[in-house]
Amino acid sequence: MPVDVSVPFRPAVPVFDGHAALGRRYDRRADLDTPEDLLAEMDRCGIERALVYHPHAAHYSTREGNALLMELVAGQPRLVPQFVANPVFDDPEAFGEKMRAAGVRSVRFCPKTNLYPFVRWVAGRWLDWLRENGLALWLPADEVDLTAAYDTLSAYQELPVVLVAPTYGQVSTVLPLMGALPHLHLDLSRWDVYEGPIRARDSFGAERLLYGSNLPEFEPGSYLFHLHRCGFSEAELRAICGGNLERLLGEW
Amino acid sequence: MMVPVIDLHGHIGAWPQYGWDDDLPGLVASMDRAGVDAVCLFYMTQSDAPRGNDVTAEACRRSPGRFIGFAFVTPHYPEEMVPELERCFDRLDMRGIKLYPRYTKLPLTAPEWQPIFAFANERGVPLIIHAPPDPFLGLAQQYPRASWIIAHAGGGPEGRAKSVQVARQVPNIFLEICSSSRNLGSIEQLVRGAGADRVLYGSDVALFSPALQLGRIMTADLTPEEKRLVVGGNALRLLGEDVLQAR
Repeated sequence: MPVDVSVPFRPAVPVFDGHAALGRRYDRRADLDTPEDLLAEMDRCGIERALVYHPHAAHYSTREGNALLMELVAGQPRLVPQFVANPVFDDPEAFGEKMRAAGVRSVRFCPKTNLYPFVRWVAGRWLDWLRENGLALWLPADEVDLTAAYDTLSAYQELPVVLVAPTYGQVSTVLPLMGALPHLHLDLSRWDVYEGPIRARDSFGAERLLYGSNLPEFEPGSYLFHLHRCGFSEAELRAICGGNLERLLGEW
Repeated sequence: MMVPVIDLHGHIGAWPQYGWDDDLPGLVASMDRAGVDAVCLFYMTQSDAPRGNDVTAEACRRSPGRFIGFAFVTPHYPEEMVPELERCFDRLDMRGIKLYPRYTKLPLTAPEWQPIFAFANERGVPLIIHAPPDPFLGLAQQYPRASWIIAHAGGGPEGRAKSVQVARQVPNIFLEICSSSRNLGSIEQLVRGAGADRVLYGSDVALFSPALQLGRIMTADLTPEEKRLVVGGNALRLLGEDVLQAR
């Protein structure tokens, strides 16, 4: 496929980003931290919608961070909120009421940052609750020991889980893990592995792959360009760029 | 505007634990999907450098015009270095040199590297080196006929800033872009800082995909002319206009 530098790249399918952060960080100033800035970058790269969580909810307080997120996404239908939950201190039933009220349909855990092991005797009650309510879990690959992830998640085969941002350095663990857990989905935002999307499609199916930008840390366009040069069918591209995320969020 | 695309940073060999494959037809298919005309290829993970250079040369022979051979030599075997470079350039038609000081535990300023630098300077050939940016300035001044390519342009944001700083001070330092740190505005930072004529597309294939790193340029806020230079125009100037011809 030749390269035409005079034609700006635009995605050929609707894009719904499955991994982005919105809001201020405590440790440094993020490159983009307002809804307006995030939306401008999404517009520049042809991203229609993004699933966003708040860094404060991940690093400090789930209660305060999730509330801050709802303030930021108010009146911004293109920014779809995701709550961070701490299974040690958040009660799933009460938390679920807040999720319903806010229209939130997915949950993110941050075990390492929140200082708990991702094991059944800590997270089991929450995993039961997510499974019973048909909600999906986002689990960052740098937040969890992947052996513990297998041990815990293998008991929850009906629970859709997105492994967020694994890197090329984790390929020797992530590929067998994807093979061992059919309900595990792969966020591609840091999956720089050589021909990684094609090899993952061939091994696990396009329906288990999700485009993610890792905004505002990474620029979102390069991976979209990459996905458009993998030789995928339009149906596969639509699924990876947003359809699979739509399906995982579903209705609640 | 269709332009030639030349990847300055490509590996042959295998490193399976990182998903790095040595399937040459697969690599050509990957280049075709991405839109890459040619890859500068080297075998830097082979401790037996002459053996690795033979593999590189064979790949170039099997896919005429698609690969540009770069020589790899190791200072662990100093007696081999210059004779092997002479063999690579005089008999195997290689066009550049790849060095990876980090793997040798020798900093770029160690005297063991000097014969390689003198060879590059004498022949006026490019060296692509994965090392921190600081020593490049002194070396580029000491060996002004060689072209010094900072692989990965220093890595993350701080390394990129340092790379820009050294490139601005001499005309023979170039910045090759490939990195897993795909931070917002990273390509614009290099082009605005060092100049579009100093930035080179590279992918790190077969560690990363050629299309992913090319996408960083194609989706950056650059003019078409800046993109033309970065994706291949600068590489043609460094390597010679004939590198895309089957040899």
